[in-house]
Amino acid sequence: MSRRAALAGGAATAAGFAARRARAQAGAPLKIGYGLPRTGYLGVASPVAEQAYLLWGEQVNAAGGLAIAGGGRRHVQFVSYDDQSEPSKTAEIYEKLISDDAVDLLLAPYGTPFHIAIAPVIERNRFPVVAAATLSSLLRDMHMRHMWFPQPLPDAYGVILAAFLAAQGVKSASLLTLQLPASLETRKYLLPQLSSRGISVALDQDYPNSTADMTGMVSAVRQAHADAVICLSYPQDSVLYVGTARELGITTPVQLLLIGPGEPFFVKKFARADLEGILTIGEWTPDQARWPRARAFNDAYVARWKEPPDYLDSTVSYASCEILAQAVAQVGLDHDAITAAMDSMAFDTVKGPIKFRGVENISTQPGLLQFQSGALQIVWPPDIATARFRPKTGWSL
Amino acid sequence: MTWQLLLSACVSGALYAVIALSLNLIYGTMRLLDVAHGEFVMVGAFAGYFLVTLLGVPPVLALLGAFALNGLAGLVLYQWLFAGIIRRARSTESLESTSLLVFFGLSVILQNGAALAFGGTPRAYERYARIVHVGGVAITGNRLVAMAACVLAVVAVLVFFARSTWGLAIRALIANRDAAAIVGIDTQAAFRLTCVLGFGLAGYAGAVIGLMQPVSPFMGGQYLMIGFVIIVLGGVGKLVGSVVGGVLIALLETVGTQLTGPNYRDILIYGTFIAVLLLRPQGIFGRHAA
Amino acid sequence: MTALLEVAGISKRFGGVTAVRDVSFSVAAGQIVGLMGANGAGKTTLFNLISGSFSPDSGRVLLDGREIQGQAPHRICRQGIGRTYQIVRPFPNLTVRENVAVGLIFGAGRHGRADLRQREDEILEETGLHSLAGQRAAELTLAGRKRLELARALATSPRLLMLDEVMAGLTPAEAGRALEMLQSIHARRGLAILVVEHNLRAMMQLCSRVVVLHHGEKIGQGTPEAITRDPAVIAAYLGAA
Repeated sequence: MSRRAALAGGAATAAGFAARRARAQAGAPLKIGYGLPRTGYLGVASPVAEQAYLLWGEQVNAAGGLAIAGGGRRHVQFVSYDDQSEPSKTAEIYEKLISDDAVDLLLAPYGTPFHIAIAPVIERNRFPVVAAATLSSLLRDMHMRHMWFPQPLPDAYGVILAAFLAAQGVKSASLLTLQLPASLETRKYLLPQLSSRGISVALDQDYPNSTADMTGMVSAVRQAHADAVICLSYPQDSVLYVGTARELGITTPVQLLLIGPGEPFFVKKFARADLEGILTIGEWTPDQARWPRARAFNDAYVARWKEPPDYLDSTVSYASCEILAQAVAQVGLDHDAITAAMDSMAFDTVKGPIKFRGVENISTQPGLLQFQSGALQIVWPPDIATARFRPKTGWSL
Repeated sequence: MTWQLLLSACVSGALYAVIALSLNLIYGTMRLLDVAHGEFVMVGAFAGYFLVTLLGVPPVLALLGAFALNGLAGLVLYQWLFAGIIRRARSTESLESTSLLVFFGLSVILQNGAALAFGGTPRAYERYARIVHVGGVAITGNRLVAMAACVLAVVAVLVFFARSTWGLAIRALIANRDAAAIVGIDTQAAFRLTCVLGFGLAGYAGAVIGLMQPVSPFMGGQYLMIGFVIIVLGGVGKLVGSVVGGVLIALLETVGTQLTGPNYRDILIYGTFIAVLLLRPQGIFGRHAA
Repeated sequence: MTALLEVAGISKRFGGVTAVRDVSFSVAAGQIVGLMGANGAGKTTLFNLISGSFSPDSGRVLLDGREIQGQAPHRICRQGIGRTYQIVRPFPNLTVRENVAVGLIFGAGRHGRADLRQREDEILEETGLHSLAGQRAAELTLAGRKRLELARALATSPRLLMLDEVMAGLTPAEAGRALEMLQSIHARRGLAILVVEHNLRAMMQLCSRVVVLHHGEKIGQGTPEAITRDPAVIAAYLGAA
């Protein structure tokens, strides 16, 4: 289904309860709803998630539909809306999806504030949703009963990042933090981990989303002479950091960017020599042989969208669909049954096995990725690594 | 380090100057409240991106290509849309409010149209990526090319307005539309030329941004804000004011945040903006109209 | 011989108000004609109808026998009608010299850049602005701006110059100098002038003929002497003044 068709689907008129009963007969398509920011400040970020949803839907329909326990297969039909990057609209959208559109299942919105916004709606309606593109331990700690988090969260990344730095013999780190939720939370959980491992913080600077020039900040990084640079950035400022660090000749062997290097455009913006050695968070690559479906997903995604998947958002969004599908195959469409299945089942996804305890994924180990020879490899933790960490050796001239 | 900061400020300043100049041409000359200007910049950025990546045009020529494409679009939009709005307006105020609605619609159409046509994800290419050393300062080649391209454009525009016959006509038009008409200036022709220049320059600026940064359908908003802030600082219709205002904002953004802290960026820029609105509503370089 | 300017039965309404009703008069080449009337009599509207700022609802405006009503202002200017505004509108951000240059380049003369400077100098001399040539128009006094408005109109090489209260707001001494300047310009260039002026003494000295408007209608015309004795004019206008 094309993006255009998805928009048209969103415009489809609501079906009433009578229609819902009629559709329950075999053959009628299964309605799956979601809201994503197609416009506004997140419009630039969300397509990597929606493309995963759309690919999954196409694959399911090509295979004859979604298997439902005791009810054969039914084709899926998406009902989706643009939340215009406004969380309040997302809440209205999910309310409407549930009551007016009478969807059978829901997929996650995009971004932490949007997951928070739908929490009261899905809790009140006891409607199960597998979260996807959100990096927030705070959200997990709201202890919802109908939302589960397949993506490792900032506190977990804080722990392994500090462990990784200690393993590399890092004694001091410079921290740059963008004032957006995932970055701020990661910093909050990382700082105590650093101190417990005896790593001093040589520079701790946060900056606003409107930052258009990082010369001043990266100069401060250079003057701080730390063993590692941790830039808790989003894609736009990740690009700014790399350009500026290169100009100012930041030769620190450990340089990590929070979000951005896993996005497809990033590799086109910089020469391979400059990408080489850059670290980011993530525990997925198509090269992870222990998860056989990773490569197949990657190839199908590239064939469909003519660009590689985002290593964080595309994969977790696709995995959230797989989790929901496997639950439905096991217990059917009853929402309480799906909720119970989330606690008991073990899922097999493109990100490897996933098992929830409470709302948290206890199977997936958070990891770190590094550009090596133009591709992202898992370099930490050692037991899921696809390559060994290599210190960054500077920049091209 | 000071020199590194100043050079960075010059890169942003030159870009901001081109954007503010182009917006000031549209708003200052025709009083069209172009809130879609950021989207015109975005369209130029995509034009530049596709010229370089699909057609293999050298990026420097792609800047001119983006200028031409956007300028042509501006001309078509003038004939088809803006001319009627200007003709029907009863006053400057009604022209501003009508055009605000029209351009708001245009911005939504352009943004969503680009998202549908090209997808919402950012796109980027890498050219002129070598590090160049200017004195003791290192700068990526593409930023140097971007700055040179913007400085050239600013100089060309200012010389055009200072020296050429049509530049004189448009300056007269900025001052007073009725008076310009009764001394023989064909205001329609001058507006057409202004649209080509104004929207063309917006496209040129977009292609310059594409040299340095990823492009996406949603990139325009920040440049619209910067553009209007600079126009207010420099004065509506004051072309030299836009250039000086652009450099001033870039200095605040780069050197100002170095002296205070990255979090003061918006306070510095919008604080200056509000201070100027309160103390000199006609702009730093503006004078009270006679 | 056809008149240089002929206004024939021209009318203009704004909403329900008729600003000009069925007005006809003519101006011969080289003649100075005065347009008199109280505020709101329709003088400025008539100027705007002739110069193309407004289109008449009915009636015709002929220049050299050719219809020009409804044409764009810049076309009318290029055919030889120059004007000033009652509330002056020089281009404040341009220098005095540039203001004049705009008229020279775009007006009826369509002067190229070749002898532009010399022509600018001529007009600046003629209007006594030469010493102020490099100043921005916004920096001039009111009298200076009024002269600049006149200079810019002259620069368009008009055969008919329409002056809308060029002496209003001036001191008696300034007004006297302005009057002399107008007379010498007329003598030197031999152009026709249509002049609106509240200063009656100036009107009497300048004009060979006067047209009187009242509530948008023409109520009389003739030599200044005849007009001051016309009972209808005295009742409607002079009596009211």
